[in-house]
Amino acid sequence: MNDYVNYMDRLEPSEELISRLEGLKAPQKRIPVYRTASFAAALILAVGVGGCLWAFSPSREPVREETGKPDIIVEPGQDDDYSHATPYGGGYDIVEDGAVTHYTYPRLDFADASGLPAVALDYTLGEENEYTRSVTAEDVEHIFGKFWRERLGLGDEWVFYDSYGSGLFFNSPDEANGLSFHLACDDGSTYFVELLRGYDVPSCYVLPDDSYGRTDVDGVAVQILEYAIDRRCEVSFFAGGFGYRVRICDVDNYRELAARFVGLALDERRGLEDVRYEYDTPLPGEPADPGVTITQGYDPAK
Amino acid sequence: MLSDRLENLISEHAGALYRAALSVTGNVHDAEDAVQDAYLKYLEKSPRFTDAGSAKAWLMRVTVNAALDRVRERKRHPTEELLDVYPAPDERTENIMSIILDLPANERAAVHLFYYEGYRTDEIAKILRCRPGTARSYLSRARTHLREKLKGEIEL
Repeated sequence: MNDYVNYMDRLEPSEELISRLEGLKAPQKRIPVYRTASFAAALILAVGVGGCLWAFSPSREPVREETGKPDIIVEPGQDDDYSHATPYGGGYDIVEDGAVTHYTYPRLDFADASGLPAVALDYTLGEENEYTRSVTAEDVEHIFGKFWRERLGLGDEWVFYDSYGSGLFFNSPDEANGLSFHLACDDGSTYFVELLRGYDVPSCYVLPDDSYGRTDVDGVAVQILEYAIDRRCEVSFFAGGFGYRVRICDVDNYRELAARFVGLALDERRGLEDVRYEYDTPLPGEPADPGVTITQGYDPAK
Repeated sequence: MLSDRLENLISEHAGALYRAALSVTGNVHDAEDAVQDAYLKYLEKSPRFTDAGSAKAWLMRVTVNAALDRVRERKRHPTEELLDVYPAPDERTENIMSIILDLPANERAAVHLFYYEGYRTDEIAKILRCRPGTARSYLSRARTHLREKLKGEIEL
């Protein structure tokens, strides 16, 4: 890559650009909450009708009074000091007071056609007494494709991300505790969903530039984190017995997609049961093995 | 004074930010706009930095994301290409630059931050606001692509 480095070394900003930069003046400060507030209003509007139906449903489960608060808020000036929190791997690992793992997933690693590593998570796809086996991209599509992509209204350009991508996690055949999956487009847009039965998904991770707020959508407290620079948002809430979080990045209509996700969760109250239904049909040639015991997983006592 | 800090940040980092923006956008005008966006953001937010490294990392993150935004815009408004403005000194470099500029924007950003700026993949992940695994994936794909195109002529 020396050629690349040498080439880039030759590139200097023009004097005209430097003059422009030196002539910059601070713009009037915007109040970040406005952005979040407008998003919240759009979100309430988008899910309002369905939310009302849900609210009057006889089978509605009790709404928790309080949903989670941000796990981590990085104050201005501490922007370089958030390496202690790792927002991946199913939760945050906080090492200040000792390691705390909110939850982890058993992993099944596989390689897609291009040879890149990829991940699917589903213990019953494992060999007996093993947590992992090689699965294919088709397995992942089988598990997730029919349900989520269709219902989230995502087009064919969205594919299951082929690295650190899709995930599915069951603690036991009777207790489906969590799920995550990761979709992506060729242009770098990503869509990451996590669900946990009975618990808030660990959230959020608020950086100084982020707009963070909370709103109420028909009795459900919804946390909204938005970062307009790279068109990213994170929405999390607890409803119907499940903690939900969706992160959407690099998408023009990220607000619409987030609102659609909340609408899906509140209107249809679709949770892991639907996934289990699909999942209960063993994949061709891969009989499910309910006897496998998982020792890794979400432990609310930790 | 904020203006004094701005001046220092321009003299210290404008070149690096400009090159990073060029690597992502592939053209001068978008790169200049991305750098300007970053410094404007600095004026708007007035973040305090504990050292020069964190200031650069903050500016780099805003610049690269602004540059990625420009790339998306450019799909609708094509502009002059980098190599037309800054011709490569030889055929080999021209070839390498063409292949790199042909990569998806996120991968170009990862390549530049890794090979030119020397950031680690976890640092790149913070700048690109993605997971470390995603940053590694960007680099892995870019390397695979470069190896295929250059057929062993390049060491990565």
